[in-house]
Formats: sequence, structure tokens, C-alpha cells
Amino acid sequence: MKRAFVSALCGWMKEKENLYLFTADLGYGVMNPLLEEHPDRFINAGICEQNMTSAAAGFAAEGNIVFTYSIGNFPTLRCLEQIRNDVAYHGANVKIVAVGGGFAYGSLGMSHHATEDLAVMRAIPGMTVLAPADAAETAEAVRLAIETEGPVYIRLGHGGEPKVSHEQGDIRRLLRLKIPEEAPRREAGGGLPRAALLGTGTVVPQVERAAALLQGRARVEAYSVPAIKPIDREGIVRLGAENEYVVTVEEHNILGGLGGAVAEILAEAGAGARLVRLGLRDEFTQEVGSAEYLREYYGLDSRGIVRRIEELL
Amino acid sequence: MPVSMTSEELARRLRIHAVEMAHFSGESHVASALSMCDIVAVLYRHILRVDPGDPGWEGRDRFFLSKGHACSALYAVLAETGFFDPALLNGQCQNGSPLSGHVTRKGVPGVEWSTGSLGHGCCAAAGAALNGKLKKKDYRVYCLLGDGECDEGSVWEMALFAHQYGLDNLCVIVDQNGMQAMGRTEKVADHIDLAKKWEAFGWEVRQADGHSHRALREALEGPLAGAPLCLIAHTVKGKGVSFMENNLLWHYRDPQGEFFENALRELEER
Repeated sequence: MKRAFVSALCGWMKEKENLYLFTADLGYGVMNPLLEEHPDRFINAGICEQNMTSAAAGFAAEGNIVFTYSIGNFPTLRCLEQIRNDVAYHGANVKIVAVGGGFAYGSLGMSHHATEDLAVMRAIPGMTVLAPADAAETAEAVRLAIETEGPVYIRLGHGGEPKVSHEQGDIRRLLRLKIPEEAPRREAGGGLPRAALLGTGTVVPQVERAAALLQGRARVEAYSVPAIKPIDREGIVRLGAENEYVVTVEEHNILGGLGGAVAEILAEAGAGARLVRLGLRDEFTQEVGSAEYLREYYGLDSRGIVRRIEELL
Repeated sequence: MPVSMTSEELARRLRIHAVEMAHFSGESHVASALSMCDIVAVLYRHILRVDPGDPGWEGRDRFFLSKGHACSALYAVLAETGFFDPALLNGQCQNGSPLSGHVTRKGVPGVEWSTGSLGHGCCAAAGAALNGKLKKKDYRVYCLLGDGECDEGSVWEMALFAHQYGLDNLCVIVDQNGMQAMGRTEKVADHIDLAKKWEAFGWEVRQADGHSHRALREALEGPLAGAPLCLIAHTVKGKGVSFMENNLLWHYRDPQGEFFENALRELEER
């Protein structure tokens, strides 16, 4: 995903002379294409996230588009007030990119697990919040960030994410996943409970698989939600009206991220569906291991998602 | 502002405004503003290339007030030099006023950056200076910091960055009045030798009496040093009002009653 990001950004740099990348000394190796093609657009600000962010805002105010880049919580929480006061209040054209959202750096421990970033960034006025699931969504997120005037946050995975199954589409909308039919589907599905599964970012393949495993036991639709803010309100209200259950899945605290955003919309719309938020239940990860291990541990892998939904049905 | 007005006279007017603004708003930080009046008077009278008729002019020199709590002096100098109507000044902080208690650029012509949390404005200034360097623009970027503000780690992140990118178009002025919110700087977080610290970060350091207009001009008009410039301006907190000078109480207190009358009398008699 980070390679897809750098590749997309390099492409845009050819078109936009005012496009720059500031990094807080991260991106070794992965930045090589950018360093080769556009060395003059690459600013290493050192391990100084606060100055990087404010300087990016001051630099953007001069008519530039700046991507700030680091990993985990460093480009967001470490310099949150700089994002609030210098970037967002000034409406600066700064695009904040975090590599390794959620459990991507699972083995590195709690400091490197970005599991509150979506909520925190969503609370910043005027901030667009994106969490692409695969390389194609990442390229579209970069496009949307460049085309959006003002601050944007992009949460990326680490690398090697599988491609998710929806057709290319407008990432501002809920993107419906094509569910492989691994279990025999009951024709028409009449009488089966209806559920919509929504996932964001690197957990989407688990949602996809969970939906496949549930075929035959429920009528399940599954969606990738790359845009957390602004979110596809209309699409969520529709799902709330059409389903008995809406289930959100995220490598994130259940407060304030995808689950929080969907809860706000369903409650305000008075939609009929019951909402189930899957994620970290207001806790820090106490476990260390691969992202796969952590998803399983916290019930966010496909089997965990299925287990939770079966309890409901 | 009449063309003939000296920077000294401008500074005196700024002090009167600062005292009046604190009086009418009932807000704090009058002593912090009095500390920097000579610096901004010299900047706006002699140093900065700005056009009050076209505040966003691309070729302007940029001035970032990083110690945003002392903004009455900046608002006053902008009003006195024609950026906006001085009649707005005495409404600062009051319901519906565009002039907040920490500097904002929204709806206030001539303000480069909104600040209030310390250690932000200087970093944004470095971003503006980097743009000037990369695009070979001839504008310069000035930034006024408090010495207490130099406690903030982000200031030193900026100091590293400005040296690394050779931002010789950036000039930071430290208003070194020796006091911060809870006491003398050396009692709170001793900087030991601020000049040496900036030098150690690769900056050209100059020092001047921050109330001597001649000394400030000499320091600021000197040739570019090929490195970012830090001017340490030695100042007195509360300068110009005898009972406010070096008295931490006036970091907080707003002048009312006899205090207000006496402060104005002192400034008007100068």
C-alpha cells in the first residue's frame, strides 16, 4: 500500500509542480522512486513531527500541496495541535499520511498501533479522513486528497494487502464487495435475516471473507468504506433501512471511528437496523504479534466476525 | 500613519493602544505586548516590505507573531500603519470583534498567521521561508518569539530545520524580557545562554537592546549572513509603564481605575 502511495504521488508530481512530500525521516527504500524522479520535491524534516506539520502548513499557504508522511501515530497524535491550529484552522492544503494504521505494525507494540487516529482526526473541523483498503483504493485516495482543497488524512496499511473485490468506484461512496459464494446459497433467501457488513482499511478482506462464510445463514452484503469523513450518509441510511443488522469492523477503537460515524448517522436517521460495532472495546492492545494474530485475538478476523454475527442471529 | 512619524513615536502610540485595549477588554498580557512595541514599530516602520493597500501581495515580507498572546501590539501596529481601522482596536476580545485575545488572521488584514499556542508560528514561518528559498523569491520572513516560548521543543525542531535547509531568508527575533508565566525564565526553565544555543544550532546570532530603535535597525539591516538569523532583543517586560516593568502581576492584570490613568499619563508624557 505504501508503494502504491509513492507511485501515485510520483505520477501526480509530474502533473503538479507545486506538489511536495515532507517526511519525518521515514520511508527508507520505499521513497526511492520519488527520490529518483523528483528529488527537489522531497523534504526530510528530520524526526520533528511538530515542526514538519506546522512548516508544511506555512509552506502550503504559499500555494503548494504538501503530503506529510510518517508511520503509526507520529504524523497525527504526536503533532495533533499543529494539525488543529496550523493545518486545519488555516485550511492549509496539507495531506497527512500515516503508514501502518491499525494493527499493521502489530509486532512493534502499543506505541506503533494506530487505533485512535480515525476518531481523533475525524473530530478536527474540515478534515477529510480516508482509509483505503488496497492499492487501487490508495491511488484513488491520493487523487481525492489532491483534488480536495484543504486538509486530508490518509491512513494506509503497511504493504502486501490483498486486492479487494469491488469494481473501481468513487471512494467517497460505500463500495459494495463481490461476495464469493463458498456456501450453498438458499434460493431467494426468504426469511433469512439481513445484515450489512462495513469495513474500512486493512480489515476489509476479513469482512469480505466473513460475508462469504455467512452466505446461507443470512442475507449479507459487504462494503468497503474508504471515506470515513465525509462519509456516505445516504448509503448508510439506506443500509439501515434495508437490514436488520449493520455491522462495522475496524482496526480501531469502537469509539469515534467507522463505528462511531455510522452510529451517529443511524441514530439521527431513526433507521431500523441494530448496529454492532466490532473493533477494540475502548482499550489498548495488550498483545504483540502479526496483524493477522491481532485481528484474530480481537475477533476482527473473518471467523471472529462470523462468530459475533452468529451470536446475534 | 504620517510618513514623518518616527518609529519611536509609533512605538509610544502602540503602548497607549496596548494599555487601552487591555483596559477595555479586561484581558491579560499587557506587559507582554509592551515588551515588543519597539520591535514591531521598527519592523513596520523601517524593515518590512509590506503594502497596507494589498495585504496579501505575493512579494511582501512575511511577519509571523509566534507569541500570539501579545497580539494587541501587532493589531495596533497594523491599524496605525493603515491595514485596518484603528477604531476596531478598543473592541478587542469583546462580543463579535474580529480581534481575538490571541492573534488571528481571519478577518484581520495584515496578519500572516494565527497563533496562540506557543511554538507554532515560528515553524509555519520556516515553511514560508522554505518556499522562498526553493522558488528563489526575494521576500524575507520575520518571526517574533518570546523567550519563555523557547521552552517549547518545537522551537528547536524548527531551529534544526532552518539550518538544514539554509533558510538565510528567515529572521527570528527573540523578545528576551526574562520573564514567563510563573516567574523569571532562569527560575522556571533556565536557558542558561540563549545566544549560544541558537549559535550551536548553526544560526547567525545578533544581540541588541530591544528598546533602542537604532540598535534594532542596525541588527536587522545588517547583511544576510548565509544562515538563518536570530536576533536576541534584550527587553523589559511591561516597558514604558513604571509599575508594570518587570512585574509579573501585569502578565495577568488588566489596568483599571488609577492604574489605567497612571499608565496612560506616563505614556502620554514620554
